[in-house]
Amino acid sequence: MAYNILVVDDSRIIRTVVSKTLHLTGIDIGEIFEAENGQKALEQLENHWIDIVFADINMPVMNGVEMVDKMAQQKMLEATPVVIVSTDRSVTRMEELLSKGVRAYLNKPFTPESVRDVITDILG
Amino acid sequence: MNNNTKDVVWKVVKDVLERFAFMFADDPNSGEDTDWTDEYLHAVISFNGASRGRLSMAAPISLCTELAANVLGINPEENADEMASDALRELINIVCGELVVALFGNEMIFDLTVPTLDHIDSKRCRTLSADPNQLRFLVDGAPILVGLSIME
Repeated sequence: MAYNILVVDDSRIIRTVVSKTLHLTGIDIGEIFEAENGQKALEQLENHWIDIVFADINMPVMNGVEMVDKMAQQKMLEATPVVIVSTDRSVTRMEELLSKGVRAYLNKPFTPESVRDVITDILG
Repeated sequence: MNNNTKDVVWKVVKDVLERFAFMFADDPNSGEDTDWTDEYLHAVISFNGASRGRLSMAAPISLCTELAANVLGINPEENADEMASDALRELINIVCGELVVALFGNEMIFDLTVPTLDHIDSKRCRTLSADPNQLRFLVDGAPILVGLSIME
């Protein structure tokens, strides 16, 4: 089964790197959708079936934490797994996000192995 | 920036450059005889938490293009110049995230701003390089300036 993935980051270079990395994991990847902030991500989630979301925290318009909160309020989206990909290394922030239902936390820069492990852990 | 802080900044930038872009930096204050003739991108990010401050980074556009190419795994000729600004913005973002942990520990939450970016000319860069709060070093023969100011 091919997984559809949404990559949310205001940096075009990071969206490109995540997309390239996903293809290096050896996992069957379907479509990769992109959004430059949390607001655009919610629009993508309304229009497409997404198996897993990779999202940054620090973005303009709507940041990653606000996006996670909005997803938790919507029945259709509350079960969609979110992985935070961030430069933020605060343990307190990580715990806060995990308590909100975020499934995993990756620090930038990441490796293909860490991305593969996260997808395998979450989607099996 | 005192010498201890300079040492921390240097180690973090060096480490991030290696892991993020497979680029290697020479020792701090290498490039003292730099002629600062190129045009530069100048990125600034602020942090606010247990302490607040501002980190800046200036690098020649040609080096930022090389940075983008390395991150993307492409040749610099393959439209990497379009990503040069994004590459420097992301570099300063990662450096700032690691720097606040290196300076203040990983228990505190820091909010980082979205990095801003502008172009500066060689004259402005030469002036910046004379500032004692700027750390200067070479990456692949090109100069990078890193400035840190901590308000409280």
